[in-house]
Amino acid sequence: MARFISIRVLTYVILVFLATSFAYLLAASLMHPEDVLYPPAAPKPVPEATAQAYMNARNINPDVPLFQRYANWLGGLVRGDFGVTTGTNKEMRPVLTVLSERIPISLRLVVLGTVIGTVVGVVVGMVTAVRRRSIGDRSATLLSFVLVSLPTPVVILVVQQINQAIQNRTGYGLPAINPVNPLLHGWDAFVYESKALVMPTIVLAVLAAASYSRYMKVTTLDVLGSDYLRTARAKGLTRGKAMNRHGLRMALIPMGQYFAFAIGAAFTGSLFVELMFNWQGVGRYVISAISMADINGTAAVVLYTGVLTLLSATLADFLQGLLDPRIR
Amino acid sequence: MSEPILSVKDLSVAFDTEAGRVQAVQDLSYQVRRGEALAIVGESGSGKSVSSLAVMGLLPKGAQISGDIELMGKKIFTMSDRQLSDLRGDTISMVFQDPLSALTPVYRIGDQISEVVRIHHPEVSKQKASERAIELLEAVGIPEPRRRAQQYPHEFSGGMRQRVMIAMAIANEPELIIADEPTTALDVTIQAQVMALLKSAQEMLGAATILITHDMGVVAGFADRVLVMKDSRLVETGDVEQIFYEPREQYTRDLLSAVPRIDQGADSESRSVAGSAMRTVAEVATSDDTTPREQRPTVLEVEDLHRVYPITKGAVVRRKVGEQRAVDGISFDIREGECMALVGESGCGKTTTLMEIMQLRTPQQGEIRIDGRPTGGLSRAERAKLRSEVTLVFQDPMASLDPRMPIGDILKEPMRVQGYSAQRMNERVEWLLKTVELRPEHASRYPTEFSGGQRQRVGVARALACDPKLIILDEPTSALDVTVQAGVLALLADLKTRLGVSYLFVSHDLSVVRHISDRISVMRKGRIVESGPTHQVFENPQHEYTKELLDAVPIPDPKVARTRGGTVIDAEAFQGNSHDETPSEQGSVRA
Repeated sequence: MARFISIRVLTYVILVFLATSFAYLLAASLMHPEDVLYPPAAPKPVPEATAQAYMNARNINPDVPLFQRYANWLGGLVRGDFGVTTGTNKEMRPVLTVLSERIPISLRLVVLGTVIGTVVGVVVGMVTAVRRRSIGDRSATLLSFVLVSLPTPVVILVVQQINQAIQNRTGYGLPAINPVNPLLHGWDAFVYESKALVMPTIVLAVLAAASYSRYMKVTTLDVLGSDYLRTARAKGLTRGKAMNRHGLRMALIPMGQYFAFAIGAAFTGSLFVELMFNWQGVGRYVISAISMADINGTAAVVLYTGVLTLLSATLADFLQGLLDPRIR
Repeated sequence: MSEPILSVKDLSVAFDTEAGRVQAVQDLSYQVRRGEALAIVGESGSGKSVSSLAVMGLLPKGAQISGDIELMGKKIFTMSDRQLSDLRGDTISMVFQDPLSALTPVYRIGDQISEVVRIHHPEVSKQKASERAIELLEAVGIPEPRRRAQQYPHEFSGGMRQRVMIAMAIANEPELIIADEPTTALDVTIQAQVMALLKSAQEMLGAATILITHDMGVVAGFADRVLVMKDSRLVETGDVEQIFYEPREQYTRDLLSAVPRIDQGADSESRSVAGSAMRTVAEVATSDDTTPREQRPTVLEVEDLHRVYPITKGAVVRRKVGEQRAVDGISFDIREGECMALVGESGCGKTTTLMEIMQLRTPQQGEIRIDGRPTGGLSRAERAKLRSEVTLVFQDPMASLDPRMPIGDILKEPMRVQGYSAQRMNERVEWLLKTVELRPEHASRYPTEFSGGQRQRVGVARALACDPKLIILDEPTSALDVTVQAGVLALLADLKTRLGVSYLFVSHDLSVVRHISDRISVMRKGRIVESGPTHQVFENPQHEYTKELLDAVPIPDPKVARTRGGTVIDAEAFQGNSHDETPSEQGSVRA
């Protein structure tokens, strides 16, 4: 077991290293932070020495060979230093600090939405498979296809508009945007933050549930036709009990893979949610980092998503092993 | 006669499908009395399984049912699913066909057995129920029941899983056990053990049993009464002797006469109708023996053939931890116009052997010669040419024909590869279809329009397409109904004498092989344990394993079948008097 884990960790480290290196090399060779810093139409030219010093300090000097910069960056990486932010603001904050501020914000959003969405999706998928061709099944299927085919911003707008309509009628409603209110403190702040979490979570959960209910329906239909379920019924279990005791776990085995990767995928999926609800999360950060030609920031986000994806893969295998004794 | 436990009156079941309404069962009526063993016999699509699922109340939702089923005075069609669930597994239990898929893969064997106890006796503690599961496992002859109960279904073999199913079926001492083709998926020696176990379990409990099967041989040794079904209707019902010795209906007679028998050679004493049609097959198959075997040319020679698969471990660095000797030094030869049967149970290496031959390459060790030429030294062109000389008929006629190709194209394909002209191909397709007793106009039809037997005839025609010297038949009839099988075997026997082709007939079924083969080789664990002319192997088997195999084959004659014994259920263990190794622990639980 220890051998298995150490091999796995080693391959993961290599994979993450390769992914991040590619990201850095691509970003460093394609992005032009100097243009962002000193646009060609700048009113007053910056002295050459100042510009060089400025870019050297940030390890983004295009006059330094690419592999020299890559080596500098790698040296920092080994020491746990991801470099500093670049772009229009000149504050030179360590990328690690920025990420550590933003990751919890994203996690709060994504984990809750994905967990709720998956649970709802599994339940809806199972019920629609068992009650196949009923009105409930037909409407759930229609609704989930509508949701899956709608662009995420549309779903967000619909949820926001419903909230607005309720607020207009009753005077009560959830905060429209912004996850935090700097004017509030203590309990009030907690209440506000919880309320602010509701709408984004609804959006993420609904979208996740829509697709997971589809997967779950298919795996459950497979299970419904299986011999072991018939055996369970022949033992004297009622339809529902046989499904809960024998069918559910078998249907969940293929879902383990989807579920774990859902967490990885949700970080990219939460991009629109972060943008449209004005959350300062990782998704929003990577958009601005790319638009400001922030090489170090982009590479760091790639590293972060790489680690997350591999953790998800491990979680998927772990779930698989937990659910299915055949592969232990 | 005691009261009937189950009475079925005018049962009809229909399903609405895309192709319209399908009648699965029509006007079926029968009764089963306490302690009685009834066999429901029929070929595929006769409605035998559907009728038993109706008794269990387990028909799919779309089924349209009419008639009445009374189980111990209760009308089951008026009962709710909850009420029925109280009966299922307690008063009435079922053993299903495919033991490989009938157990939930993710739960331990012991838990699955104790579940059936706990469902109907919730007052039994979990601990007691698992002790009961271990007793039941011991009763059905699972060695080391305490350890085995902790294992998962995938760690059990097919036969052992079917024992587990029987353990679950008898756990609550039911009044009625329904066994739906319980041994179809099992090897013949395992089949004999499972049937004997089922019989003794039934006798111990005094339960009524319904055995659903297509296999007349199994019926003869098991049933008191037989009910024959065809095309969703009852054909004939009667005592087992009456059905086997004096069948009234023509269909029953046809069904029985198509059953292959291993005791065919020593017949005349048996009054059973079974196997009479197969006698003619045997006559056809052996009629042309004019030239002695030694003077005929050798078509295929296999000498000291080995095939060893390494068992590896590790994902990144593969290490060899052992080896599986799939074929372990076998030798045999086939002469012109001869049918040699390679017989053995699953996993004995028969398929590996024929794959080695069909590869036409140098084997790992040993030599394969076709027409005297070693396959090792062939050039690419020679190998392609040889493909027309050695052809293969597959086991599953449904899967081995491309559903999107008309029959004519399927037959032309091997000829096209060998560069036949269009004119010649058309002539040959017509001739081939006639030869396998199909009509030439069938050439434009697609495989789905044919029945299983007809498709297997197409498979044979394809194998014949380029005048082969040797046809390898890989279980060619095991997927077919018995009456259809008889027809295909008769065709094969006829082709052999008319065209002078040789066969390598690979099969697990000794009784099928008896009628068609000239020589038999019995294979076990990669080795040939016995080899010789057919009548010699059957009448005077030398090897222990051959005797075991022959004893296990069911005989479709009730009198003969009853004289044979087998493993019996461990009634002591069933009563709870376990002879387990840990008596002290056992005692404390019981006290």
